[in-house]
Amino acid sequence: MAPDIAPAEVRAYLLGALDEASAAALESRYVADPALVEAIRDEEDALVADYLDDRLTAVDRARFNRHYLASPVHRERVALARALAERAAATAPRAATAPSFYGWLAMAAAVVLMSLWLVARPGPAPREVHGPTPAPAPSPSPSPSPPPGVPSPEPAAPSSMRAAMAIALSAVSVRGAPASPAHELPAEPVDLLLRLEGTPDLADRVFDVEVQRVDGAVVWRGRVRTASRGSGLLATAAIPAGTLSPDDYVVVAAAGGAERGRYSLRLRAPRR
Amino acid sequence: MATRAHAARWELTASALERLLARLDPDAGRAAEAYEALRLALTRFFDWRGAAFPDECADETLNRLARRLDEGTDVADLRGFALGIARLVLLERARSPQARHDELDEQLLGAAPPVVPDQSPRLHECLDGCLASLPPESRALILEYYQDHRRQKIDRRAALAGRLGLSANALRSRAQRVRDRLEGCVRRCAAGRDADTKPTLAHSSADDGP
Repeated sequence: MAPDIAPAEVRAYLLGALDEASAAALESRYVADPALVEAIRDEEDALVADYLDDRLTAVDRARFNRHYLASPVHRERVALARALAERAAATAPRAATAPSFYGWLAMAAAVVLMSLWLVARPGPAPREVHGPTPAPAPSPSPSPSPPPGVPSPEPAAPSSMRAAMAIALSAVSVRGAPASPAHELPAEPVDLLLRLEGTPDLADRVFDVEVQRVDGAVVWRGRVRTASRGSGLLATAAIPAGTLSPDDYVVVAAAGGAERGRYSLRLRAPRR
Repeated sequence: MATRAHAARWELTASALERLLARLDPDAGRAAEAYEALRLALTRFFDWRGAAFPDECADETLNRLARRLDEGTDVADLRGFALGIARLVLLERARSPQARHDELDEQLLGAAPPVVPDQSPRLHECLDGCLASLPPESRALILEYYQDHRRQKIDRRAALAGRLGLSANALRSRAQRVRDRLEGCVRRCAAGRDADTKPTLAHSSADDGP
């Protein structure tokens, strides 16, 4: 970063949080000085990396979603940065390192949460109309065995019950919502039950639910039944294990072609 | 002599471009560099202001600047004047019927409007092709630069900079240049609907447009 540019100011500019006079002054400076253009581009790169690494504050993340991602060019840029990171991760040599203490802690917490949910859930989730969910995809890499003192993962469930993780999602107002909390995926693949909060209309029988990436690509689509009246839910969508990877998603529920709810879903990789 | 705009759209002429280049720098080589630098700065201005087609807007701005100079307008601060034109172009684009339509779409659909479902596979396909087009050392650099997350990423980049004998800033700039080329390549590739669109990293401003 050039010494006479404050990263905070640049980030505020990129996030649309700088007042107009300051933004105009910054623009005058960088149009006159190519080095500043490069410095701001550097900071933009760091901002996108922080977004993808989930290092932004809730306020900045909301601004990023609302302002930065409003530009199709920026959405492409973020999608490319994400794809590049995925490609880089895929080509990286696999280091045979032991999971960190915090990794085990997170895995244990995920297992405990998953077990609690399986025990405490009040009843079966609304069944999807479009058919049974496929069997969970096999784990892409062998799971390490837990260290002593850490409970083993949930034993293999009977065929009628698969490991699942429920996530309650509150509807967001269009493009102006604060950032939603990130949900850490367990190490083992599990079905995700997205409980979409809201109040269905009396006429609603089914909802068409789409899970989209931030770049707009639809990664899952299904038709689900309306939740029981008074449950506080529009519906619950069961996403088969392995469908969603750690990423940011937009979940859209529609009935009769009209959007009834839009939700922000953030999934984080399990800590290793 | 530039063609005057009457009903028709004004086109940049060689003489108007020469006049603009001469104003940027008396030396032809440095003038060309200054022109590219100004174009890049204007492209970034439109990019960071959220314009849909930053390259196109920057070219429109430079055309208007050349036209004003060709018409004999007295311009004291060339870059400041260019920025003023850029603000006008931005405003015009924002007020255009197409922009209104897009804005309405954005309000209705949110920040992530649905696009063709196969965009993501297409993106990955194009990225693979564009990565393959890179010189091996650039490809290795960009892939290593984007490995890991958080602390590990910082450590890896510091190690990479040390290995290459670069400062952290120099490494970032180098990675940024490779990434910008990749971005342009992927955009051109993804815009080509035909499956046989071959990714190319050759820079061409004319290719960057929609």
